[in-house]
This record gives sequence, structure tokens and C-alpha cells, in this order.
Amino acid sequence: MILSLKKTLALGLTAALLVFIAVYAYRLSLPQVGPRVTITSPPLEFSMQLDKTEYGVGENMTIVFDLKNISNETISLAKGECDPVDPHYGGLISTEANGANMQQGPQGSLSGLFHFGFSIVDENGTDVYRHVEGWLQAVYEIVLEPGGYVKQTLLLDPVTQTLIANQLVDGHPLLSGTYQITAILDFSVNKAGVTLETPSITFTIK
Amino acid sequence: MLLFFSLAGVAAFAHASETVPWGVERVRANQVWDRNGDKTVDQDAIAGQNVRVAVIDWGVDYWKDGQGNIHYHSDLADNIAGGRGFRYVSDGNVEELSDYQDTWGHGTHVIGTVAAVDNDAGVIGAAPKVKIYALKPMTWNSWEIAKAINWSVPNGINIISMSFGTDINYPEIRRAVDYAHTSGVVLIAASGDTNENKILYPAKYDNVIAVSAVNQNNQRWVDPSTGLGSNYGPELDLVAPGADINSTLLGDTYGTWSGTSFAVPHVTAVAALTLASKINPKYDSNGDGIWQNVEVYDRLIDLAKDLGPSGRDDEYGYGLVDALLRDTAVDFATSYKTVHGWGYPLQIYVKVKNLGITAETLNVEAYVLNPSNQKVFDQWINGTQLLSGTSTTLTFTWTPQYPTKSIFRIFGHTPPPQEDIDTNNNINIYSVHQVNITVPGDINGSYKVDVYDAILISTHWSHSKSFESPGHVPEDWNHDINCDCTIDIYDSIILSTYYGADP
Repeated sequence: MILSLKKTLALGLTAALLVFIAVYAYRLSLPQVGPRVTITSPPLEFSMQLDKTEYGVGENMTIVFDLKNISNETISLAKGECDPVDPHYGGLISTEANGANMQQGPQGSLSGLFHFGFSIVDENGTDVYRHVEGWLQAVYEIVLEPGGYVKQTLLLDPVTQTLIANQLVDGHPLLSGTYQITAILDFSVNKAGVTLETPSITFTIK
Repeated sequence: MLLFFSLAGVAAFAHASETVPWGVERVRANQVWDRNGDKTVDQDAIAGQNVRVAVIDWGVDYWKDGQGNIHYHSDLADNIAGGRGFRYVSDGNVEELSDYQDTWGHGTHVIGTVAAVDNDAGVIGAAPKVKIYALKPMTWNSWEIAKAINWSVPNGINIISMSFGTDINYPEIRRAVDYAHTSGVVLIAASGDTNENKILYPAKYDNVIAVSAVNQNNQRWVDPSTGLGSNYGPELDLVAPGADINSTLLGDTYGTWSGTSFAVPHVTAVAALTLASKINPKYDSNGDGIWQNVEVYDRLIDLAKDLGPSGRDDEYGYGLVDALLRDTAVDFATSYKTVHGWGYPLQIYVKVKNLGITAETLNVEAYVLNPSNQKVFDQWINGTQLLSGTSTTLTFTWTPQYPTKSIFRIFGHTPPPQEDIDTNNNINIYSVHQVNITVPGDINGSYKVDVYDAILISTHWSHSKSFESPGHVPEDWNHDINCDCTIDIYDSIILSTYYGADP
């Protein structure tokens, strides 16, 4: 059967449209990847990544924290405070770990806690959100093998800030403006207190 | 045999025969409710009954069956009265939730140290008959914490246990703490685990008992593997066991854990035992006969075992909390009031009441001092056993000897039990009571004679058999009464016996 030119063109356009939609849908399904910052302080490498740099007022932010042992030796990281995150109410989306084990604390659930911290400052350099320490006063310890890592993805609801508190301003969304976010690591590493801060990422609320 | 297995670094074990954790023994809670040492709660013992404790933490372990029924950790079930979740909404508003399930284990561990039940499995808590309310701030927003504290007041909570802390002084939490304190609630919180000279909020508030942790050597807890440890500072009130504490965990398991989080429930439990006991008048500052929160605080501080430098210090506060609340009161009486004749036996009645919450074996002494403060009589009655809240009267007999006409002072006391002396508690249960007694002797002189004298007077002549009770006056009593006496009506009745006439 010989198709007319019109039908051929119509089929071609339909096919192209379907391919476009499929590709678009696939790209939408991929996590958005925004800027990433890293601080390297052997034996640790600590990174933070945002999903994007522009948000609407009240829009959720997805933040990925990544801690890695870049040395050839096993290291121990300990905290005296715990930030448990309820899977139904907290902002923790996922925890991925390899070569990482919890040595103190119940049930060994690395995913039951949020391990990192961060701060958000406004254009004037004022803290508008800061989360570094947990509330519960119990010791837990993470042992990282060489190459081992812990990666956590966090959804920050800027309206309710339903993560773990330590908020300086709460109950209000971040207003339109430009902000800087910095990831903070605060652990006792091999019995010595270590605080690492990544370079900041600038983002805007429109 | 205990079946140990390692679950993510925590030593956990399945049900075996019940054990008493070292922390419960160290604060001597078990000696309050287990007097006979059989590791079970005695039937009539104080174990925290009717005391309602809110544990603001990460909830408690439970699961729901197909019908939605809640099943708690089997070692806690009998003592969990309920719970609530709290979730921040916006603008300081917090909603209450029916979900208070512990998803990590911290809350379950803390609750087990307070309230694990007396059964044949796992561990036993320090106050194994309290009622627990598990309050869970879902995101640890400060408003959620404040809401949980505020919830406690209208719901009849007696004690709020807070194994948490922060550097930040949140006004909403401060207000809630003050409200609960003013409403009579005992508030207890953790000092912090970063091994610093810094007490976290809310423990830092005046109205909250700040608790730090000690290890099994009664030393300030410092974790050997991490260098983390108990915070200290001028606001610290008490210390309690907080290292390697064995308690309940998720899924009906058990495990050890360290931190000031786990010192707090020991103090919570001792406060609960205190509230469940009869109040000692010594602490009843307002005289209402029941414990007030400030009176509980006074008692915990007063009876703490001093550690570190003598007296209060920043590392140990007032010392290690102690549940073995020994208190003994002594009442005193004699067979006569204030005047007695020499040569006649005088009964000295010493009434001893155990105002503590533990059974006591007491040694009781009565002694008499003459005007030169010399002991003219000293007698002990040892081994008197008294249950909590009971009293007994012990009788001593002293016969005054010549010379007469002296004023003696009679004392009764019971010293503290030996083990309390060992703890350097300096417990004020050493009670001394005294009365003065006059042995008049010869009454040649200008005296006012009262009825007791009159009895003696009547005996002088030995004519009044009706008044001359052999049990009261020796037959050889013979005193001159040639005096310018003032005689009242009672004396006159008695004096009538001089003539052998009827009164």
C-alpha cells in the first residue's frame, strides 16, 4: 500500500511528537541536578547538592548530603546527639550507604537519623535557618571503611520546616530574595572534634 | 542462658530471665520495692503507683494488628497508659496526632529504664508501677516540644522526663516549662553529651532538674571510644547512671546504650518513687501533707550521694540520685510529766515512726543528762523493725537516784542506718528530742504544789490508802512537808487523806 504524502507526514509528525513526549517524560523522571559543592579534608570528603537554584515561595527544596572516607583507613565518626527522622513526618527522603556501619545506637538504622547539618543565610548574612545538632542526648557512632560513604537526600519544606528544628525563624516561608546555603558536618572523628563546612551555594526565591 | 546477638552494633538479647540493670541497683530503687531481695516487687512496696510520667521523646515501641489494636513492647505494656504525637503546622500551631510509634528506639529505651514491668523476662525498671505517657514531637520543632509540655498539665502528669537538649533558649519552651512548673509538675532534663562545660536547655532552666551521667565507677561518664561524655556546669543538679544502660528496644528486644539521655529516666523514677511515698514533714514546706514539686526537688537534692569534691560541684551537682529514702521520726514521752520523785522507776516512752519509703531496722537509745550534762542513764533497744509508714513505742525504765531536787533532761534518738552513713548522705534522720524533768526531793520551802506533788504529800503520812497507789509511790517515801505551801483544790483533796477522812 502506498501512503499519500499527507498521511506520511502526519505519521512522521505523530511519531516525532511521541518520541519528544517520551524523552521529555524520561527527563522529568530524572532527579533534577543543580549545583554541587565539596570540601575535602582528609580523611573525609563532604559534599552538598541542590536540585536547582531557583524556587518559588513555599516550594520544597531537595538537598543531597554526601560524606565519604577518602583515606585507606577505617575511621570512626561519633555524635552525642541524635536527630531521628520519622518516615511519615520528617523530611528525609532516602539514605544510601556503603561501607558504613553504626557501632552504637539501636537497630543499626543509619536511615533512622539525619546525620548532617546546614545553614541558610539571607543577603544580609543573617541566619534564617540553621540545623546542626540533634536533640536526643545519646551517643552513636558510624564506622566508615576506606571508600565507604553515607548519602542522604532531604526534602526541606520551607513553610513548616518539617525537618528537625533548631530553627531561628520558623513558621514562615523564605521570602523572595537571594540566599546562601552551606552544609555542615559536626562529628567527633577518632575522638577529635571535627567541623567541616562546604562552600556555599547561592539560590533565589522568586 | 542469655542469647546475645549483635544488631547493628548494639548488644541485644532475646527474652531470658529478668535482670535488674546496674543503674537501677546503683540508685537503690530496687531496695525500695524489693526489700526481701528476691528480685521481684514486694506486694505492699512503693513502686511508683498512681504516678503519671510523661516521657517526651521518640515515642514508644508498638505495632498494630489487623483490627488496629495497639500492642506495646511486652516488657512495657502494663505500664503504658497512652501517648500522643505532635506535629508543627505553622505560625506556632501544632496538631495532636494519635501516632506516637517509636521508629528508632530511643524513647523505648528511656521508658524501659523508668517503667519496665516486673515479670520473668528482660529488665525491670526503677519504678516498675508508674504510668507512662509517650509524647513524640514528630520533627523536633520547638513548638512541638512546647505543646507536649503544655499537654501534660491538664492531663494530670506528675513528672515530665526530657532526655533531650539544645543550645538554643526557645521562648516557647521556656514558657511551657514555667507553666508546667507552676502547675506542680516535676521537670527533669538531660545536661548534654558533648563533654563540655555547658548545660543544655531545657535542663539549664531553674525550674528543671538538670541531670548528667556517671559510669559504673561513679565517675562522670566519658565514652572511651568516642571521647564524648556528660556535660557539666553550674546549673547541674544531679547525676545518675548513664553508661552502658541495658533497657528495652524496638521489636521486643533489649540493648545497652550510653548518654545523659539514659541518666534522666533514673532520676525520673526516683522522683516517681518519692511522689508515691508518704511525705516526710521535714520536706513538707507548706505543711499540706502531700508532695509538691519543689519538695520533691528538695528531697532528691538532700538525699543525693555526694560525689567529687565535698558539697555541690559542677561535675556531679549535688551528687548521685538515691531512691533509698530513709527517714525516721522520733516522738518522745515519759510516764509522768515534769516532776518525779527519786527512787521510783520512771517509764520513758520513745515513739519511733518510719517516714521513709523503705523498711528499717532501727536501734533506739534513751538517755538522761543531769544538770552537769553527765549521763546518769543510757539504754539502747536494738533491732526494732519498722515497715514504711509504721510506728512503734519503745519503753525504757529509769529510776532516779539520790541526790534529789535536780532537773534532768531526757533524750531519745535513733541514728541513721549504717549503710546510709557509708554513703555520706548526711541524712538528717538523727533525731533528738528532749524533755526536762524535775525530781523535787524535799520540799521544805515556798513552793507551788501541783497535783503530782500532792500525791507525794499524801504518801508522807501513809494514811491515805486510796491515794497511795503502790505503783506510784514507794512505801518508804518520807518527806517533811513543813512548808508554807500554796495548795490548790486538787492538793486539798489529797491532803484530806492526812486525816484519813474521805475527800
